[in-house]
Amino acid sequence: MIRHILSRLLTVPITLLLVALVAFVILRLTGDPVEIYLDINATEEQRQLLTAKLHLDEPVLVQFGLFLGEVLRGDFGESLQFGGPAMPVVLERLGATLQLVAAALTLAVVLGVIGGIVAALRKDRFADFAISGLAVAGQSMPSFWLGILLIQLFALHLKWLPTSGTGGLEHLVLPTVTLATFLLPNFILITRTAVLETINELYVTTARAKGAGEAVVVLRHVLPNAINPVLSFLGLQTGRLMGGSIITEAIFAWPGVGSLMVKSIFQRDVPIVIAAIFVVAVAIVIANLIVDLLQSAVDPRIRLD
Amino acid sequence: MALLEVEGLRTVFPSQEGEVSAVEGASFSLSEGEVLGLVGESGSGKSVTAFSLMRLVQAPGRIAAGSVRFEGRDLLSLDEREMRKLRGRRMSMIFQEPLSSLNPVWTVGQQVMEPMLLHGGVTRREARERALAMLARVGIADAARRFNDYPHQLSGGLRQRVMIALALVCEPKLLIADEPTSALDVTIQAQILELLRDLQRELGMAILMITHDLGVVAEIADRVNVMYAGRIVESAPVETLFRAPAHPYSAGLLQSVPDMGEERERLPTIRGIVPRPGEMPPGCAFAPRCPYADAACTVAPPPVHTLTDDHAAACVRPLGAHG
Repeated sequence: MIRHILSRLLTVPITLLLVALVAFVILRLTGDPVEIYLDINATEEQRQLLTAKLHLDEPVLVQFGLFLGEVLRGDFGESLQFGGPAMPVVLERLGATLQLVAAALTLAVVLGVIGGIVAALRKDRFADFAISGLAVAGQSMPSFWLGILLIQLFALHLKWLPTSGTGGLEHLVLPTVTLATFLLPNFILITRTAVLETINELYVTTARAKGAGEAVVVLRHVLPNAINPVLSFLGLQTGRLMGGSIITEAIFAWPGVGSLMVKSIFQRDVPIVIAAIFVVAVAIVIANLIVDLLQSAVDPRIRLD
Repeated sequence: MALLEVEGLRTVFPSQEGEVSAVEGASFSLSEGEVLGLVGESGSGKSVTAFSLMRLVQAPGRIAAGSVRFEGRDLLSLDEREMRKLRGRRMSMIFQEPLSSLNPVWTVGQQVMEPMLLHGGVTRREARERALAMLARVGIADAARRFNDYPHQLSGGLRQRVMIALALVCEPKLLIADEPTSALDVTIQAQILELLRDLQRELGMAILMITHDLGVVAEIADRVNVMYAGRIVESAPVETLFRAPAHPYSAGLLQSVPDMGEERERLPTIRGIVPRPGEMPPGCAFAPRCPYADAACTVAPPPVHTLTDDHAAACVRPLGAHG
């Protein structure tokens, strides 16, 4: 088990190095930083001074090395909009994003697993058609469109919930539902397939032959064996989830990393964008690590091999 | 009174040609403490019979007719809750593939404890102690250490021992063993059969031993029922069947067992295959493959001839009867 964790941890720095490389390339592709930092009336002397200060006159490899050094110190440069260092600005917004993502993920996983189990147990019956049908429909629905529809219905017409922003729990409802709907259909369909594959296993018959009732059969014998594909999918989808979070935050003016990122892209505030990409990448890496550990906790064949 | 009495059991599965019977009117009984072999080729309906007795036939299959009396109660009329109370406590089942019949995510100990915890009446601690004792009883040397192992860490023989332990931990009156040794090495097979025989005597339970292997029957059974195409075609004490089979199918089966002491050019086989459910001939199901069949055999399913008190065969002309 410990060896398994260590071997997993070993891949983390490699992943982050690759992220740094991509971020660096993007940074250089977005145009000459000097043009971004200085206004149009800057003198040639000012330009040269800034070029030297940003080490833009050094070879690219050296620049990348310096960039890596800065990244390791958490120094992503000065934000153009906020004036201060970029990283603290991003980290300040991280809490709101994590809150939204955690709420959406919990909703999607709980409803998805329950829905998938019910659909599988009622295969080819009405409940299965209803649940699977909704899942397929939900899968084909873009989340920005759903978000706007939800705002129309619940905020504008019924006036039950606020249109956007933060505050109490009521502000969390619509963005959570929007983001959860983004993942829920896949969780339903994957759980359904996994349960159907497991339910005909001989050990499920053994459980029944022991005198287990349906609840014990499903929860203790089927689910632990069916949950691994769901977890794998969860790991694979964290990237999509962060992407979905960016759109959702933008729709609902949710003050998280996503909406900050969108705003900064429009403002060409490159240090903030790079810092945000880094934070998102680290979050994805950590999420995958957690999924990995969860999987080996559920299935002894993974942790003991 | 018999421990188990099966009358006219008929289990059907839907198919494109309508419902077809995997078990067609099987009748047999099992006394307390008796070991009954149920022998037949693949597709003869013996496994479906076993699952029918436990009422664990996979949907969309279902029991369409007949009665199953166990300890005086009609199992087919019990509600599911009552039936659950019997499974694992009064009647248990073990299977051919010990790896796939054990849950890969739970330890051996947890799985052996489960029947006791499901049926209640014991604390976790007692269940744990009894499970440990049972694992030791089925011949697992270092039971305390194996207790926390997972099925994939054990050998095939050990896994089947674990399976036997969890089936017998509540000391049932009936064990249904569906080809329990077919997937094991020959040396391990003998050990498992011996273990089952010992436990059967010790616990005074009855065993329904389902197998295609007449060697297994000879080893362990008191009595044997031969099944063909969903029907019991012959019922006899083991010695009688081996000495004087009455049904031509039983005779064919016995002839196709290789004999170590004898050299033969070619092992006799029964030509043809078991007819598929839904393609049953109108008369005796074995008639198309039977060397003795004539016009009388193709008219109607043959009646059961009682040859002696404990020997019966479903054949128009049982072999013993005409010399």
